Amino acid sequence: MKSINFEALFNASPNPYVLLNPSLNIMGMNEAYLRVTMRTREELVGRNMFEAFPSDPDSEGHRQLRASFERVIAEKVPDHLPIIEYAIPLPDGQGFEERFWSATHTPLFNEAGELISILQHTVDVTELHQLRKFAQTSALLSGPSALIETDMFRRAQAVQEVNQTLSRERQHLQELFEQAPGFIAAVSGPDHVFTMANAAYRHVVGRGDLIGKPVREALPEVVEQGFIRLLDRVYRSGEPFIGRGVRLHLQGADGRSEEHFLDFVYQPIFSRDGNVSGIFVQGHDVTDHRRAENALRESEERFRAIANSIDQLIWATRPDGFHDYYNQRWYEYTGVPEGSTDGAAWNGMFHADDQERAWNKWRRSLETGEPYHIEYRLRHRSGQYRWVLGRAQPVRDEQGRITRWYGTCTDIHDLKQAQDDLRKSREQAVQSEKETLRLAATLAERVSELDAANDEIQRFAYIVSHDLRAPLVNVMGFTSELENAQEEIEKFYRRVSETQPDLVTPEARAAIETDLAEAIGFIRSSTVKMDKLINAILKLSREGRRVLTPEPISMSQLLEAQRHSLAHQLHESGAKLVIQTVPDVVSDRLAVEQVFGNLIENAIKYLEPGRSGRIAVRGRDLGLSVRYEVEDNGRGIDEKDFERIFDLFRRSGTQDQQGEGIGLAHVRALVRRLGGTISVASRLGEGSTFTVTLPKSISVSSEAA
Amino acid sequence: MPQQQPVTIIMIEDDDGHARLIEKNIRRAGVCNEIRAFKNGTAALEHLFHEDVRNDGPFLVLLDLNLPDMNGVDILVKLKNDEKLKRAPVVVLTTTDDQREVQRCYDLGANVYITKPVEYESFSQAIRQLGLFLSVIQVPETL
Repeated sequence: MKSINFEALFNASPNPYVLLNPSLNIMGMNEAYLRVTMRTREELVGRNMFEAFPSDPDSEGHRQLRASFERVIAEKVPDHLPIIEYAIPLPDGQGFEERFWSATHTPLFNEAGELISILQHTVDVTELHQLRKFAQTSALLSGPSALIETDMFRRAQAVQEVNQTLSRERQHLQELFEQAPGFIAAVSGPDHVFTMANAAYRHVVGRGDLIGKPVREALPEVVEQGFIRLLDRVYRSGEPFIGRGVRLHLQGADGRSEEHFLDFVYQPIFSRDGNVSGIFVQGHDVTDHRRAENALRESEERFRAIANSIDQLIWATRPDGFHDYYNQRWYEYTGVPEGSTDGAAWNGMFHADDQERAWNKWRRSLETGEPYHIEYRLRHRSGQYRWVLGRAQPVRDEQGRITRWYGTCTDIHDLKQAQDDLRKSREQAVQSEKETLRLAATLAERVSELDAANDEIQRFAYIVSHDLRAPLVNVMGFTSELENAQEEIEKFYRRVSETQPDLVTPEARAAIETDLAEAIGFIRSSTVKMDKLINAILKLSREGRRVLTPEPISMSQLLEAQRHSLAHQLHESGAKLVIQTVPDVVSDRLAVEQVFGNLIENAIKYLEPGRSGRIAVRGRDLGLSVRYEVEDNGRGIDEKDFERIFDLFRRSGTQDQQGEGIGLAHVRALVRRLGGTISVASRLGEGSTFTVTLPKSISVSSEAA
Repeated sequence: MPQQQPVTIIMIEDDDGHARLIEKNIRRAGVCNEIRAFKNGTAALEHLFHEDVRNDGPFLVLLDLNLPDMNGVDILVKLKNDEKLKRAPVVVLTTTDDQREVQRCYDLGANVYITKPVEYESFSQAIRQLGLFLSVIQVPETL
């Protein structure tokens, strides 16, 4: 392909051309331009247009030229200046020469579509202009051609003036549009080529190079989102489209997709022939507003969902207490139609006995702003009045004024019922505890009465035994004195019998020889017996008054000691004492010794004659108590005497052994004092088993009984 | 011995029989000292604490614990707390052989404690031994 030398072509052109960069610095020019401006290439290249050709910035020519350049830069379209007065300096520096020009400014773009330079084609029309002026002031120039020329020129000037006015208006409008807070753009033709886009629009779409590009090219991401179809429709139908909160995804400056919500209008622009020539786009980015709205709606929905899903009844009121919200649960619970409890109608849902109280309380809360807290009975949909805990809190604004009240109702019926039951059962428990305490008090009273009586009896026994003893001492003493006297009498009687036997009558003989001795003998044996009985009572009463001293007792040791002290009796009777396993006990040592000493001694005493005696002592731990058994193979006890043997002065079976019937009575008294029991099992002729049960551990206080 | 005056026996015993038996046995033991018998505590104390009597020792006190108007122990305390009378030996005669009571009497300063036994022989034996006791009487203050 044959290449064309554009530079040579450019230079050879008779039309003057100059090339400027977007900063209006002169980049180059052809020969024609140098000729018409009377300048050299060196004078112009690299200089700013307005430096190279200075002019008064307020002059009409300066403004026109600058505005034309700016239009080209901003709109990237060629601009024409049909006529412009612009003086240029003379080459010799001798002032300026007035010139009239007609110029065309053409933008030049690189491959990326960016404006790289502006080409000015300018024609010096000064002569033409002077001719016109001359024609206006003289009649010299006449004839049809002159007229035509003049007329044409006038027309051009008129157009130019109109253009200038329009241009100013356009400029003004453009400035307005540019600064408008809403976004504004215009697209023209069926491909919707951007002809205008203000700062807000460029901001929304996040890019500036829109002018001259079809929408599908400038904003490729909107194609799939249906906006081209929308523009097509408006273009075809001539019907405007109004979108509210339309969601749009735009490629952000950082390459990420951004979600926008836009309110906008696609307004068709009609040409004179009534066809749609383009579309005017105007609107607002409502993304933030929309987001806030969405967030609000979301949070409201969430609140509603929460409010309706929770088990509580929730309500809200205006600052004056007018109920304007209840959650779903309220309506489910009460079974009343939605809205029927708005205002103050809620009060009617309460139990008649609670209405006034609740109303007053609510009023007081409204007046004072104090939280509302009350328990009342609320009518359930079942018709039952159920106990409910009502609470409410005011919400205040920044000035501290109450803006709303939020309240809840919580069904506490079951809880309250349970509380009631609990209270009742507690009352019953208290009652029964009281009863128990009363019984215990009565018991304690009885016990202390018994103790007192017991003490009294013991004191009585003690005093009685003393008091009985005192006369007994006399009976014994004077019986002795009597015996002394008897001796004297007998001596005297013997002497009389020897010396004067006739004085002795049979009566005197009987009295002195038998009656006296017999009487004294009976008195003596009786007093001895009585003394023993009194001693026994004394011993028992004394034992009852003894203070018990609990101590740990090794039973096997204690029993071995008993074996030792009874060694003589055991040896005499030939009986064998077997001490088996015995649990230990905490008790009064002396008392325990006496109990087992007596029982073992009894067993030795009442063996079956002709059968070698065997006495076994064993025991068992029962937890809180211990049980001991003293078993013998002795003569046994008749069943009718099982109780009797424990009574004082009572004995059983053949009375062939020494004793006053005190031993077992004493044992039982001791066992009882230790808090235990004693019983007997026996078969006559086979043996007896005495069972003693004692507390494993006695304390001093348990001694009371 | 500063004093060679015979010992006066003060017998405080409410039981006439006992008193008679005691006296008989004392006499039978060959003791001829004066015996002043009192049937209750009040009269005995009145007598003993009379200034003339109080300074007119020495005394031997035979004391029964079971008196109608007071406990013999109270009399014992009063005697042993008196500067003069505390030197008089006190023989406690009683029907009880309660060890605690015996101990208490000794603690309070009783010199001899005799249980009135029903077995008369041992009783009169004990009384008679008092005769020996009386011959060496005058209780040292340390007792």
